[in-house]
Amino acid sequence: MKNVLMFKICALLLTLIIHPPVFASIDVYEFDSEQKRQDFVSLTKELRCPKCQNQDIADSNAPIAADMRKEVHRLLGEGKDKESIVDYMIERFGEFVTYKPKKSSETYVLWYGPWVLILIGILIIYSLIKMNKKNKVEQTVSSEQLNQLLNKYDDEKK
Amino acid sequence: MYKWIPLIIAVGLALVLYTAIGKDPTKLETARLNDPVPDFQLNELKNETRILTQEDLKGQVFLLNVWATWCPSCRAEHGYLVDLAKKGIPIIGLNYKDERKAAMAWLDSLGDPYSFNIYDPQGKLGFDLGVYGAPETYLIDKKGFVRYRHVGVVDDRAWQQSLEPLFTKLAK
Repeated sequence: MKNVLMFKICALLLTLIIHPPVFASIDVYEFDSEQKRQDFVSLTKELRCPKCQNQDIADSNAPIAADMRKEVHRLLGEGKDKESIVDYMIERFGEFVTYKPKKSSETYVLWYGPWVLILIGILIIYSLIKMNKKNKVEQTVSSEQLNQLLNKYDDEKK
Repeated sequence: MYKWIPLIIAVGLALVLYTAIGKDPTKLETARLNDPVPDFQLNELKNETRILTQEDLKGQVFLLNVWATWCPSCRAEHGYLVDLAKKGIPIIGLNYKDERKAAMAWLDSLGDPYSFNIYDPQGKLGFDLGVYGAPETYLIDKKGFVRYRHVGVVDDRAWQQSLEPLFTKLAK
């Protein structure tokens, strides 16, 4: 009885371990070169589904994502390069569709904001360390002064 | 001096976050805003032999309503569109990724507010316009330029607050 149960558990675990990876998009595309296949994979990961907020079009089941994959495939077949395909999508759906927004006055904050924040962080840490050192120096000075005072006191006592 | 730094950071953060309050993240910018309706060549829904192009969209201010029979919200707004058409607002339909028979049956039973319908079973014009879900309603000016896009159901509020004022302004 126990053996049967163990067997069932093992079988269940085994199916979980060896099951094939599941992909959201099940459509099959053929490419005339390996380069185009790679471009397709990277483009569909770089383009964002307009309907589903935070999924790339490779990962999304939304009809619009399927349409976009179809268009990417068609345009690659026409010999378009990656950049012009991204531009094609931006022309229709706006900057939202790309996870790599272009550098423009509207996106400078996105591109350079993190670096500015890191710089501010470094400045804060630097000034904190400096302040700390200054305090320590003052402490040593005051202990020297304290010793002097003590010595003076001892001298006076003698 | 240094004790003010956390306060400055907090206020700065609050200002940045405040600008995003009340924004609906599912509403995207309209990439085609102030651009002409993209080139197309498609059949009319009821009259298969009639070929429509963007030339058929010029000469009047109108609403371009993207709809389909598979779209529940389209059914919800349909009655309101029929009312608008009765008031004399020109509405042209873009029947998006739909079946001709089902679409014609829908218009027969629910009423037909459209001057005519562009039949777009592949969603080609829809894609070129940047439609990412039906219903969407575009306001097109006399020269065939996109002047506004409303995503979602057209109801009293959407019409009175955004579509109607712009419509009257453009129609002058």
